[in-house]
Amino acid sequence: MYKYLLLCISLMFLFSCEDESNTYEVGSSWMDAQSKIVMIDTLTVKMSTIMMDSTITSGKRVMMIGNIHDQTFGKVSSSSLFELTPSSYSLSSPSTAVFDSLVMYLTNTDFYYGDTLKTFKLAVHPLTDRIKLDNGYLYNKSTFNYSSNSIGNAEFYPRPNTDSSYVKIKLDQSYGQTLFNTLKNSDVTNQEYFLNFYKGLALVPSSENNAMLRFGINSSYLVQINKNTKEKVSNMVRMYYHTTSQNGTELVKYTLDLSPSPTFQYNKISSDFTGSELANLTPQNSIPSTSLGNKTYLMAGIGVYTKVEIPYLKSLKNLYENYKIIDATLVLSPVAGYYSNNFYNPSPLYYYVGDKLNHLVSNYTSDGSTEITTSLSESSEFQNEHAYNFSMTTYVNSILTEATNSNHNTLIYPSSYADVLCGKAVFGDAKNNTNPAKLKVYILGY
Amino acid sequence: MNKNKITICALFSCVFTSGLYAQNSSPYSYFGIGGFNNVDDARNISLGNTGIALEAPDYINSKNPASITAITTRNVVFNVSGILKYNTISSNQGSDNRLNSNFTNFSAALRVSKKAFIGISMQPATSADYKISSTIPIEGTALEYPVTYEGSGGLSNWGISLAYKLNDNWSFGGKVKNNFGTIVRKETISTTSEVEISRSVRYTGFGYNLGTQYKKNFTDNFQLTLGGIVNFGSKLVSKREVSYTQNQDYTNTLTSDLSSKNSSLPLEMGAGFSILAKERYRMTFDFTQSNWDKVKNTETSEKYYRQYVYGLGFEILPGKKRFETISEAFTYRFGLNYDTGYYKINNAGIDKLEATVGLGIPLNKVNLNVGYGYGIHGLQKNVSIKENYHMLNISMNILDTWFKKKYID
Repeated sequence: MYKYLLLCISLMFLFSCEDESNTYEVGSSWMDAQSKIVMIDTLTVKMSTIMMDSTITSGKRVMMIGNIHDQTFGKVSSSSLFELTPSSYSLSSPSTAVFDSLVMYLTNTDFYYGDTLKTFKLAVHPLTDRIKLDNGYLYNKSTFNYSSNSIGNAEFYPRPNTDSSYVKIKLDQSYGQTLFNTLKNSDVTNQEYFLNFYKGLALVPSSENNAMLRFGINSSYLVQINKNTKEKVSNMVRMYYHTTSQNGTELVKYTLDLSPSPTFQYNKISSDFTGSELANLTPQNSIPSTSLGNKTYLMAGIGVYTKVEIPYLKSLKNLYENYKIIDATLVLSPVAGYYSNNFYNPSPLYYYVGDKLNHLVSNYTSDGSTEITTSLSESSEFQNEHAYNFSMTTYVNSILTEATNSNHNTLIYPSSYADVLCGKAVFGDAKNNTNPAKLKVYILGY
Repeated sequence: MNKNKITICALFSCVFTSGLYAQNSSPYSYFGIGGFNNVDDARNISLGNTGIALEAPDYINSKNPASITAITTRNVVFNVSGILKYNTISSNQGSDNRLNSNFTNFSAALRVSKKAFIGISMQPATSADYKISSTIPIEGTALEYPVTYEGSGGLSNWGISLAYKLNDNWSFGGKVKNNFGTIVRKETISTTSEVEISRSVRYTGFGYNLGTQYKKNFTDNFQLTLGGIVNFGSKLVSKREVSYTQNQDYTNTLTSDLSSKNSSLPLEMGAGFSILAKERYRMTFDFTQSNWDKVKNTETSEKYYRQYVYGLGFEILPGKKRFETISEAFTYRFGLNYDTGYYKINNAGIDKLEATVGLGIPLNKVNLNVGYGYGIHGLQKNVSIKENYHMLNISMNILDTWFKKKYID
């Protein structure tokens, strides 16, 4: 019997057990990792300022109106052109209807850029050309004529982010009367006919402005326009009319709204770099940072991007037998003196994979669809420590693993595919004295 | 008795088919091919780990392949051994306790004829088993990431030994061993993600041992046994591999081969003597030298030097031939062993001193050896990590008689 008992005891030895220790720290002084983790910040970073031929500004549901003029970018001006769609092609009680007025409401909930302490001036002009899409889009350089005579003017102090931040522009009475008559007489029955008479409007800023305002075309731009009714509207043109009292009936007031088309709408943004630091910048002629005092520039709307190249990135492959990129971060710091409270550094910044010809190849995404954006880190009160941190790990990995040289680079811009945000920034390159760019690659060699 | 044989055979086949790795639970097992396990019978360990000049009529002495020639009429011996070890590791960072137990030996020996003997064995020779937390510097910065070092695996061997009895006094033995096993060193680094780099080395190689024992009775009261062994240095063919795993996503582990240089196990030479006085008091002494200084291409960068091991043991055998109680049949053992170690860490040799006591308990057809030992690993003052351990060794030797009819005693 005892033999079996002993066998059992012996068998127990086969099942090794180990007491789990708590700390595991003892012995660490002997350990020497065979893996190496190295932070490399000596890779050459080549930066330049490039300009796209044009950028798409249609379909963004945003009216960008304003002018900016300074030493760096010269003059940049944005008008917004759009078609109007009436909510109905006929009036209520047309036989007795009498026109009152035509009013444009512009609502600005969230965005301004530039000097908002000055009054802002803009004018409304009727379009004389029909807006036609170019392969489904409209670009910042697309041009359609509008009448030189304005049918409405506004001068106001921009007050974004308040409930009453809307602009009310009374449009020309005779223009309104003509529009009223067209609808009253049932001359048009659909949008196509309507456009033959009313091609749309252009909102044109006065060249005295030094600010950009954004008026949105969707429900998130709703602003209360009437204290009594608490009615909220977004950008639109409203026609007021009434029916006269007949046989003792009361006078009845009516409105008819005409909304800007989200599709046939774009921002015409022009730039004139004459005499500015970017005087030589054209889509054909990029400017390396070394020619601009170790600086690069970017500005939304007109397609000025900062291009970042890492020409010797592939040399990382030769450092270790096997390697992995743990992290790669590009830190760009806006050059002090090129921004202020009014002309603040844009947030967020977007970045794209660009090819040799400066075409956007893809955007940086976190999950395949969500664009990665970068905000200015506010960790420091000192201007030279303000910085944008761009995660470059995916880019570095794709360059290191690609079979053939793609020559892909990184293009940085203040607006995404999806919107037209205004903003400009000036970055230091790697050799900039005050705000140098830094590329930090953490590599694991094993 | 047949039932017993079946049980034993089943046990053997089970052990032989499964890979065996003992656990060491020691930071020392980080180095080289892992820490060496004490695979000997509890009798050897209790006698200061001696045995080159010990005959083995009722157990298996792995120290000397010639020793199996002492097997007599009970012509089959099975050995199962195990260890229970409680280890206290201390350094200036504090101390850790590790408790582990494992199987250390599985072997059998058979008397084929009056003069020829054969044995087989399966032993976990070395093992790597450590888990240590530390930090890894990020070169180029003042920062560091946490890292956990983990080791697992080890070298095992199975062997066949043959022994021949020239005459009643002199015997020879030889053993062929196949060493095999994989040692895995894992570095888990907590960066923005958890990165695991696992380096494995697969070793294979054959080893050859020779041994001899010579016995002389000077008077009835005084017997001298001399023994000698040579374990020839054996090549360890190494195949290195590294794999990378992120966030424990083992389905996407990247594995690549690393350049490999073959390593080796050193040439070992040992000599020993034992004296039996008044058929009751035995003293035994062993000296072994291992030429670790000749070993190249070790996985870790510690410096190797020649190893010397000295062992001294005393054994008190039962006073009577016939016993009334089992305690009268006990054999008492005491031993002392000093091992110079074979590698230096931070310029300090890692030596070891072990004191042991033990008991031999003869049961019907089973010879049970148990032992207790206390040891210090890293005696030198400048060794930064010391281990103090208590161990319990148990060996069970089952004696049996097979092929009865073939013998005409």
